[in-house]
Amino acid sequence: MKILVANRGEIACRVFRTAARLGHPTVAVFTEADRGALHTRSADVAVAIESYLDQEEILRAAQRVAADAIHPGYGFLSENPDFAQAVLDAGLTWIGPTPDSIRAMALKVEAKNLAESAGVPMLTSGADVFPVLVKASAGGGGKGMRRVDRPEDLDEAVAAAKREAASAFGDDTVFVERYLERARHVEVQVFGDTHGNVVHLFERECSIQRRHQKVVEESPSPGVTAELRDRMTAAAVSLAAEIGYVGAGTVEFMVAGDEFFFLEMNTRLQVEHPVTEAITGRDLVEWQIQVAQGEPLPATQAEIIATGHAIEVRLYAEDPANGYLPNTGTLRVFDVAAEDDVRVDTGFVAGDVVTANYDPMLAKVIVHAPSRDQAATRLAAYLRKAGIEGVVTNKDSLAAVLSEPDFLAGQTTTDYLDTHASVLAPIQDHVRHALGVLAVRDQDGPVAPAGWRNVAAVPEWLQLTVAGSPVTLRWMRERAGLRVQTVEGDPLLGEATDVGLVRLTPTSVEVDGVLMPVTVVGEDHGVVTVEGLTLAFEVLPRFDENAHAAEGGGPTTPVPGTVTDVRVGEGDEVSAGQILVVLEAMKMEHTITADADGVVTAVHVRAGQAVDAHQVVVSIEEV
Amino acid sequence: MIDPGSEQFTANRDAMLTALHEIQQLQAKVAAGGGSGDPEKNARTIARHRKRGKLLPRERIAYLLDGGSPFLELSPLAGWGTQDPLGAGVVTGIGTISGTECVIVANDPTVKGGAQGPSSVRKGLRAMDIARQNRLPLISLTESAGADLPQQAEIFVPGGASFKNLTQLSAAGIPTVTMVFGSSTAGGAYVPGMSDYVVLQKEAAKVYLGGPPLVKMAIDEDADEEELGGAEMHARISGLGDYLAQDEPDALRIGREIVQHLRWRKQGPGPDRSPVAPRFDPDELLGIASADVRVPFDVHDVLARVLDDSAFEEFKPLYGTTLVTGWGHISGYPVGILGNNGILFSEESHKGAQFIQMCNRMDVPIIFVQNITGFMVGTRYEQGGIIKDGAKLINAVSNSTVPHITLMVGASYGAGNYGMSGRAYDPRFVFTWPNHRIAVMGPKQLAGVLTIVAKQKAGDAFDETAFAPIRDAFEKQVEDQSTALFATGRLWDDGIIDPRDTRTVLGMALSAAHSGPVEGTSAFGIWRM
Repeated sequence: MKILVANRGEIACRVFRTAARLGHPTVAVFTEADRGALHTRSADVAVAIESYLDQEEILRAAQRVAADAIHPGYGFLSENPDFAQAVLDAGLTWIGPTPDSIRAMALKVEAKNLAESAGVPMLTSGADVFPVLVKASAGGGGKGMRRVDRPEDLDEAVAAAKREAASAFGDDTVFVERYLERARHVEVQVFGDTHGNVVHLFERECSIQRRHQKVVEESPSPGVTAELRDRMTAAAVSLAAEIGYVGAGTVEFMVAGDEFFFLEMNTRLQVEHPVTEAITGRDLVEWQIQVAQGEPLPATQAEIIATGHAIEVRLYAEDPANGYLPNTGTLRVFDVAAEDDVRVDTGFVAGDVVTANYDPMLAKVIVHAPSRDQAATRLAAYLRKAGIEGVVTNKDSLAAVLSEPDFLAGQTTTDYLDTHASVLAPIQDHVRHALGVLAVRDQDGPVAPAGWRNVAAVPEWLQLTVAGSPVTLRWMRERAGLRVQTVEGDPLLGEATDVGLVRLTPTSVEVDGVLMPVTVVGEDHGVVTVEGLTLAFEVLPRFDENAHAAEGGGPTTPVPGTVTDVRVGEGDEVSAGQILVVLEAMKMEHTITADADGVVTAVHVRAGQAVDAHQVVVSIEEV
Repeated sequence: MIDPGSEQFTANRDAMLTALHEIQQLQAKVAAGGGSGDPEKNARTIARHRKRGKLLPRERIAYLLDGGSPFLELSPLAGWGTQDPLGAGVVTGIGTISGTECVIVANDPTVKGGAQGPSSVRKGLRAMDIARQNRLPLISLTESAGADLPQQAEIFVPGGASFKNLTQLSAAGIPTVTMVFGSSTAGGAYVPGMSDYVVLQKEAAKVYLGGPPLVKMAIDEDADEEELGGAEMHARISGLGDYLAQDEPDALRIGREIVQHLRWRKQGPGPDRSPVAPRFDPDELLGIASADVRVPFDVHDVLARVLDDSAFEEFKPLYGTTLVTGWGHISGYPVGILGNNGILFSEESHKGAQFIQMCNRMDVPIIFVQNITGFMVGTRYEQGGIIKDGAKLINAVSNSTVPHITLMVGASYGAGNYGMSGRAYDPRFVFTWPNHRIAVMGPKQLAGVLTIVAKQKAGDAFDETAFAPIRDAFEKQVEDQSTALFATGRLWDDGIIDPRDTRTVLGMALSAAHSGPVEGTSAFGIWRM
């Protein structure tokens, strides 16, 4: 059976691996941006397409190379019932649940009704108790989802969710449900075949999320007792059986104490399926292929046994300390390889460029160990030594999570990252300050060292951001090194705090006798690796070029992306904090707000326009 | 060989560090601003200045320079020992702006309102000389009350040269850029008036020939200061202002942009190899230089701590040994070196003259390392033609056209100062070490000569005991007037430097010299044979 994977990146590579092992020829599809990507090179044959969302194109690709089956991966068209139907209509095998099952679960509002009738516990919905979550009915992966704490913010959140949902799913239906504080996100992997069998493969806990997207997943869940596990898996199997589910599916629940509530059912292979594979020793893609070929499930419920503990982390090109802003660039070094007890699923190799075009997930790293503690320790160690240079990642933040006492105690709830800010920027001040000085590393002239003076008078200064936070440094050259201070306020007149005597070499920085090896990529902005941490830095210009310009000053884009909405026009009065422009970048929505009250004197962008980072969007004259 | 443990080394080092400490204290006083001897009064002056949102001159320079650029401040202690304020109320120096080495001249408005006394005029003119000789763009940061009126007689006539110099720089193709942050009136108005580029700070720059009171007196007009010479008026009406800056940093930002667009190219060949640090520790220079200039030390030991890789290719090492000549590199720049290891005889004069001609033939700049008590005297030497031989050396030095840089590491007495390219021989730069002494001859010798002359005049009536205090006072006066501080206060040099910085300072000076063409000559005066 020749299998075309209608997807990209790590999941395409992962499906190809199993398909090839089973002896099935493989077909990749690729867009121009992915011409050189790993997944394009990992199949027996690859077909160029315009978009991973273009159904006709993908079917045409399948016909051109005489593919027999289509695996949709996750995301893109994986939960599109029309596409599943079209695949079947074209006489191809669809490696996924039936279009009816997909349709039944696709719209969350309807799915909830079905689940309720299958006897699955439900969260009461209603908009009078806050906080609430606004969710896209057609949504998934956190897209279109918004937490709202105050009634007055609800309208804006609904509007934004609708917009995001419309752009992501082509359906702007949203619904509101109660937001459970301090709850866990636990899901049950189910599998059905065409012979009426349905089994579960235990649960996965995916509570550690940022922006409602999972970053750490594990199985078993530290918050689920054997008794609760029995009830949850039974409910999940019951729902799957109720709709005659075929293939891999996931029933998601919120768990608070020993209660659990239905969230939604995902009718696809989940990103985090490897943790289930690790503890059960089963290849879920192999199961998918066999079920799609009409074979019965390879194992009965009794034969499915979990051993040990598995944890997966998702490595993203993003800066956790800077609001998880996606980071783009060239992966100069990408030393993230599989080891005996470590599985790595990735679609990247060193030298690849991380662009704003697609999801910024670089890799999934999965460890399987006898106990949770061992798995966490092993994975943290692996991450710390993994070499990634060229882009900022959440690697260090993930390692910090895996070593953090609450995590190790199993105290994982969906607000974990909000309540454990220390893991976002696991960086000490002396490191931060030392890094700032690195920005002067290349300033030694041919005849005099950087900042040399024969009359000591005025220090040099440097304003920069390190790992997202602003730092102003003042420094003077002494014979023994650079005397460095940090400054609050005006770089020359502000209050200064001593950092110490700093000595620099091209490969190290020494602060008062503490020597740290460093690598730096980039000049005015780039990333620096020190003490195993990789941090973004950006040297800010000494002069604010826009400060006095009649036009051109104003709020700027934080990242490259596409303008999706312009909310103001010339002449509008705006107040501080008001949303001016909405930007979509790396599949995330970013709002750009007014810094102060004022009048809009010019609008520099329009909806649909692609913009660079730091581009001025609107000029505002302050009032 | 140098023995850092020796008593003499330690004593020299202690004396040098003490002298450096005094110099640093003086420099710190200048850098703090205010200009008076009373720290509280200075603090009030500076607070008033800051309250108006103004920066100190060195802060303006810090904004102007490239990040990490070195800054070689020139004549920082000008005015020492004179009635002028220490530092002369103006900051001058060489630094890199938008990748271009420039001479910067910045008034210090916290010192007598930036008013110009005789030392200020000399310091400013010297900076212009450096700009012209080395072909460096001149950047003026102007805010000055004008002439220091009580001293007008001392400055009116010589001060006029600064405006001539500005336009001559321009005529020579050397750009002049002026940023005005405050008052620049009467004669001072010609600083922007004669500059190629003028940046005026809004609501701060005042540029007019005559202020409101003078206008009232002259033509009975009630003039408004802004209308008379404000930045907006000059930017919009008179056209004197090319750029209108919103505030000080904005003016400095514009200044950087102007230098950027000059697309300035240096004309010298530049370094011909990569810099290599000396093999010997420059820190040892502190103990090598004699605290008492009468105690000789070997110039080879100095060169070993200044030259790249401590590599010195000596020329004629066995002939005329008290003048050391040879080639080496400083920060990658090829240089010829003449250094003193004692008094100059006929052989040394011949050797020096030949060596200078060769440097001119090869277009190589020359470093003169002065530690010289003079030419040899005495019947034998006069009969041997020491005058005409010395004349050959002075002929060579005077007519040589490659850049000369003079470093004073000890004594500079008598005609030795001339033969070794003293200030009057127009070297591009003169830098001194703190132990430097300069005079027509050593104080003891001079006092001794005075005594002998007095004895000859008085004959038998000479009272040795009665003359002793006169002799001692004279010796002390000469001693006081020959110190490095006395010399630098009078602009006889471009600044006292820390010996450990010698290689850096010479490197910056060489780099500056290479901004213009580096070309030798074969046209010398008649060689007296």
